[in-house]
Amino acid sequence: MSTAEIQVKHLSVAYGKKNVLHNIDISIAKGEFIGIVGPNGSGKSTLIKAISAFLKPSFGKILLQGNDTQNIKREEMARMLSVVPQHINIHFPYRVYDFVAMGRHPYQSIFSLTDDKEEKKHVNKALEITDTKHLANRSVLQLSGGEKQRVILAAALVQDASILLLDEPTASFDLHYQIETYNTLKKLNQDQQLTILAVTHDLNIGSLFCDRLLMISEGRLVADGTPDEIVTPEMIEKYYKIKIDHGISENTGRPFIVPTGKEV
Amino acid sequence: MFTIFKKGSVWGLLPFVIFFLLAVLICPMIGSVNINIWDAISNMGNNSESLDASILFITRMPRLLLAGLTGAALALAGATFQALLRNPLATPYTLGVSSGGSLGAVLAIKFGLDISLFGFSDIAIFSFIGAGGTVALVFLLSKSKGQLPTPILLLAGVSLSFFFSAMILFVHYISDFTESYKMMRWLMGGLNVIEYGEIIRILPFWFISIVLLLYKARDLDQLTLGHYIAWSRGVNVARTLKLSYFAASMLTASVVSIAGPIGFVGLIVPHTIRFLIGPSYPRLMVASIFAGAGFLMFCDTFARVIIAPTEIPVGILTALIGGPFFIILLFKEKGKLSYEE
Repeated sequence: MSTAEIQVKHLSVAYGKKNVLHNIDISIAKGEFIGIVGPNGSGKSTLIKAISAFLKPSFGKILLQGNDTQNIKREEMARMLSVVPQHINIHFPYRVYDFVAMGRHPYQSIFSLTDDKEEKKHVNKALEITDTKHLANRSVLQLSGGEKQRVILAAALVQDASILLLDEPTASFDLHYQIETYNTLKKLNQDQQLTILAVTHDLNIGSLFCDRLLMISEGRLVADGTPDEIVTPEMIEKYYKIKIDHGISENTGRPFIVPTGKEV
Repeated sequence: MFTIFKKGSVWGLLPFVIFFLLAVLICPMIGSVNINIWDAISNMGNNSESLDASILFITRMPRLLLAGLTGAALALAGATFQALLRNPLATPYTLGVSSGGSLGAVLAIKFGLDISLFGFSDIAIFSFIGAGGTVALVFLLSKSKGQLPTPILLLAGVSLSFFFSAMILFVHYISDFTESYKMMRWLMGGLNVIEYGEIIRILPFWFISIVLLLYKARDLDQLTLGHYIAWSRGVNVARTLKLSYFAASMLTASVVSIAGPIGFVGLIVPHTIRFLIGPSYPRLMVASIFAGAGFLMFCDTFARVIIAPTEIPVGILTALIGGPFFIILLFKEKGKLSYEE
């Protein structure tokens, strides 16, 4: 097999003395759409931050296209990988257009003009993809939660990286925008071979859109497989400690779950 | 309403440059004595022969030059600290640079430490040392694993600031009337008692800090969104924080050491610019330099003439003019800042 897009090797991450991730091994090929699932506090966000090299491994390493993330230059890495964090606190009234254009940072220097034609094309395309073009002149401080999150996604897309990490990107979306956003991601994934890792709490979304799911529990990778293998009553009961009804969708052939209201 | 302030283009900077140039042209003309500008310029260098030349070049120009340098420095340092601390309320003084500098100055006045070094006065030297020492102390207190966490930086800076203010009050309290008046006067900020020499000596600090900060303008823009997102876009977060923190502190210390803690410029100039052309940092920072310089030049000119022949300390005037102006602007533009909760 050729070099994997992302290779996580024996990764451990600690906050101070507290180990948050233990000895994790994952190999991800270019163009995979991967969901990271697991209960709260299991280390999903930490894994995303470690892959983006924001957190240093206390043991092990992470390779992006064969190169150790600790040795990749910051700007070069920003052209390989972009992130959509759980939330961004914005303190100043950036115009939506300018906010999205800021995602072009790794391609610009002090002397770059923001009204460059090529740059405009990138920004407008991302605004179109995320259905936020009509917001371009609004202040980011005035957007609703869902609008803001789509604008943040647009800013990650203009970064033009081949890997996209998302941390619960649709937590504040209504059902329509959840599905629309994941459809957009799926399309980018299929058309442009974009490699996607998304933390999600919604196992049905994960089942419907992801090729592969990683279950993280108490800092360990406890299961790694297709939605058919992961979204099962046994798995959910074991790691989420609830009873569920489980079925296979007639329309998509994918497994889905409905909580029964009983805890284990 | 402000259509000349084009958002998203370099042309948005033009009004601030014009404002600055107007200050440069108008302010030297105004004063309690009317001067003939052509006579003054043609007698440049012969200050002893022409009263006009001596008023323009010895009395007004150095003072105006210091006002420009100070205004530019405070506005730019304010914009920088607002990004570093991700807090719209931050000023050049939030982390204690000015109370450290003031404590140095007050001690120099109290104990009459009659040293001068490379032509700096004792007050300037001690205030610069006080400011620099405070920066170093806040930095050492806040540093943790090579990072500068914002909440710790703020707590360390603000608590040191309060501590130094108490010490200033204490020294003030045990001083006699002459010392006490000198201290009060210094704490109000002022641009008088100035000769070219003092200004030229702070110029290297001023210039290097400004170049460093402009070089980091794009990275500071990203930092306003948080360390993680800035990092993911290629910003070396720890290095940018340290470099900008020191450059902005050095910039503030250099002007505070001569002009005293002139308030308000660092808060209202950057915010006014944000209202007019948006918060994008590279443009905000360049605009801050011109607008800050122009603003303080105008303020100081008013301070000289408004109740001539008496002068008002310029620090009082920046607040008296800037305060109402900013509050009106805030009231008109607050819609842009409202969060949808």
